[in-house]
Amino acid sequence: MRSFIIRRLITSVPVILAIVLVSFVLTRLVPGDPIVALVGDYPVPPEYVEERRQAFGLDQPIYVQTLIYFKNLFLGDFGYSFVNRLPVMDVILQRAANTLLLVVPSQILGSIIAVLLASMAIRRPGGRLDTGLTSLILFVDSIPIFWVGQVFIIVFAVQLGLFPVQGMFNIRSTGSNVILDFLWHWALPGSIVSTFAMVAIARVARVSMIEVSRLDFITTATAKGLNRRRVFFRHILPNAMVPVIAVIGYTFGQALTSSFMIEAVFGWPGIGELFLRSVASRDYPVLQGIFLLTATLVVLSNLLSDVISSQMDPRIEYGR
Amino acid sequence: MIHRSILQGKLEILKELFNVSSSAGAEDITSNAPAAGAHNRSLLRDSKARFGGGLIVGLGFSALAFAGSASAQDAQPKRGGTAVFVLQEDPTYLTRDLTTNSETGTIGCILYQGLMGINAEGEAYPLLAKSVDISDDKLTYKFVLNDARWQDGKPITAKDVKYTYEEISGKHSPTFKRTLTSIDKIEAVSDKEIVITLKKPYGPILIALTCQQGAAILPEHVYVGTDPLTNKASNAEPVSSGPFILKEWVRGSHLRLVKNPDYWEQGKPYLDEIIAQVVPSGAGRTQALLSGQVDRIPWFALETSDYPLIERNPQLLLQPARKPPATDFISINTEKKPFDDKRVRQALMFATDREFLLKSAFNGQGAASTSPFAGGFPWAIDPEMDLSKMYPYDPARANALLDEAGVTRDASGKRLSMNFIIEPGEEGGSQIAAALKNMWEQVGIDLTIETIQPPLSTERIAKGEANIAYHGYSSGGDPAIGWSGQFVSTTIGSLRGNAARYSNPEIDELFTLGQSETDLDARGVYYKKAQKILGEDMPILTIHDPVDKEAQGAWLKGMENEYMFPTWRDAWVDK
Repeated sequence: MRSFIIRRLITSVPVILAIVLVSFVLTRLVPGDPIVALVGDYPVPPEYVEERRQAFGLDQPIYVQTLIYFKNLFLGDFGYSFVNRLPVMDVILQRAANTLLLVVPSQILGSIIAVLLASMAIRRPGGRLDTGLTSLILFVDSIPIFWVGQVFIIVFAVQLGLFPVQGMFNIRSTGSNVILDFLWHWALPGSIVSTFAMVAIARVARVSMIEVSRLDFITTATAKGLNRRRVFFRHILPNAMVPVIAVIGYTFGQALTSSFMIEAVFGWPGIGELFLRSVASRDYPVLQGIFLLTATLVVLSNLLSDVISSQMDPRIEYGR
Repeated sequence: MIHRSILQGKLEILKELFNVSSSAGAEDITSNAPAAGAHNRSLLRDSKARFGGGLIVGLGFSALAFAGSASAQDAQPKRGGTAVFVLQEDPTYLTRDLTTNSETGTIGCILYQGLMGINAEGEAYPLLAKSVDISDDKLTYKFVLNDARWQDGKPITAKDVKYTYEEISGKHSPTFKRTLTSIDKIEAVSDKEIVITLKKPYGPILIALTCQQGAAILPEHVYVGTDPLTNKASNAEPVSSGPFILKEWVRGSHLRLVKNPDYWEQGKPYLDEIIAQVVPSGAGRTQALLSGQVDRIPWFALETSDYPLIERNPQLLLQPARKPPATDFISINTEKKPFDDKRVRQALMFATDREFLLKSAFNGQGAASTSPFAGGFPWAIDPEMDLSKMYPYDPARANALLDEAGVTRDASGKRLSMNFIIEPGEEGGSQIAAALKNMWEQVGIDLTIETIQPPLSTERIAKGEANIAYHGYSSGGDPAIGWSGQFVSTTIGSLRGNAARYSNPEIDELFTLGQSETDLDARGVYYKKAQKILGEDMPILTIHDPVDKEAQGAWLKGMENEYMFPTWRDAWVDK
């Protein structure tokens, strides 16, 4: 087990490095000069532009820039943001924590609800509850997440005044309960991200449970006279959960990207806003840092779900 | 709104009085002693201080103006409280001296002040300087500093001014770099006195010494021996002297500024705290104002399409932003054939229905431009110049001019094919492109629209790769600062410079003369002449003079005297 995890971790390193390398080259191949973006909308002398370019090492050829970047990376230096004028790690870490505060609870909540709904729905496949769940999956899947965000803001925050429109904390207050304040701000964006996560997971959970419940050993268990509850919890659920766990890990990457959009709509100070802004200003070092971080997170979440699956399903071997 | 118009009425009277007094001929502009009362500062900013006109703004008028501003503010300002305004994104730096980024200007011009400030009329008044003495030859400017301190307790001295101009702004501010070229020397005569000597008279010099123009004074003792671009004071822990100081900056969320207890203007500011909340989505900013979560949206962060939504709400005010005039125009690459022929460029103007564009692309907000310069500088605008009369929408005349210039139609009726660069973020860009494609088809011109994002668009336009392009430019507060860059030949090829690549020695000469005078009326003569030539030559087709608006809750008071980037010194909350 331990050697499996270690082996997986080691094989993850080249995957992450490859992602970083490809994204490094790609971002630099995208037309547009970061210095022009940095200088802004004002006529400036050409010497000024050249001077800035040299200051950031952008006058070097791409392969030299790549080598320097990787050298620094191995020394633990993630680069220096052109736009923020701060080390990349300083810029990214707080934002990443905020994004995780939005995404991780949503992913957990969404997973729990998905499994609950699916297990209720499959009691009678094609029944009212099952049809309802399938329709919900189809409906949520076909609407854009940022639009839902806007509608929620207009209805629940502006019209009804129940929730705040923007932000993660009430910046005016100083004395109120931090946790309650956070939950109050989390409610709208969190419920949307949870719902989108729930839908993706419920789709797999439902199909998987239906498939398992049609297998021979379930028929045997039922024929043995076990009650429904026992059949479900002892036989269907553990077997059906293997693909569900995998999909939870796999959709974590999706949840991260959908949260980028929700962050923009709700003014959530996470990595999404930083990402959009860095693309616009061609802030390569920050983009690089975000790619590195998200790649690592996705690889780790996949690894975690693989470990859990293998614990649950003895058929999965750790590999030799 | 009522109060504002009363204020303006009073101002007119004041201006009359001041203009009478200007016959005295003295060139001394003195600000009031800060201890003289809470309204003195607003008096000075209300009063129209036309430096070139040579008038006095002295203590003698304080009583009169006090009455003016007292009746303008219906109640005594309330002390305490918090105001929240929005930003689209975090500022890059905390001082305007390093970048022209709007968010930086908004925060930086609260934290740091220039020798001069800028009033609601867009004119300079002494701010960190107590007074300005201008020599008769308009070459020597002597400033006496107010008794102000940095937040670490050290006094602000003439050495700070000299160091800032020479080592920080002069090297890093895209705007102040240009100012410095007109300055011969900067001398710290004593702790509180600084003398600036110009190479030759420079009209916009006092405007150029404001924070807006990248000339906020920074502390020498914090910056000396460091790189201002990486100094912590520039991007995280400022040591400032303005009415509010930075207490906390949570990136991507907000910046919290608290009242500076040692602020040099006595009794100010009124608010305890101002918070800049970062709200990246345009709809989100408007909704935050509608729900009362924030108190103000500055002009650069408010979407035109949301104006009606705010106008309908009786609790909110939507008003034209006081800022340097800007213009939206189409540049024609005058180096490429057949656009090197001015008849072709005139034909394009005749083929453009600007009234229709105003209605369709800008929802009727703003105005169709009447001059190659946008409005806003009455002294520089020729009132007889009216592009709408000179170039009414007339496809027949456009066709005739094109025939005359020898740009003939081929068998399919097409005269020309060319590309048209627009930027997706530029307001009205896509509507204008679609409408123009239609309008110009009638005169045989086939447009290929290229939507390109900045910074790539900026680069390509500067390199002359666009036949025509649509842009928005700001005047930067003076024709010599903003408009000159569009037309003089020295800015061909620079970013956001002369996009038309237009080169005319006569225009170069007129712009040089226009900036070397200080008297506004004398300067106006050159600019008016330049407009006549440009109106004939048509290197750019001015389409639209935008009127950017800002929105705020009606409960937020004391913002009437602000310009471009509010200092919040007079702001208070009536709730």
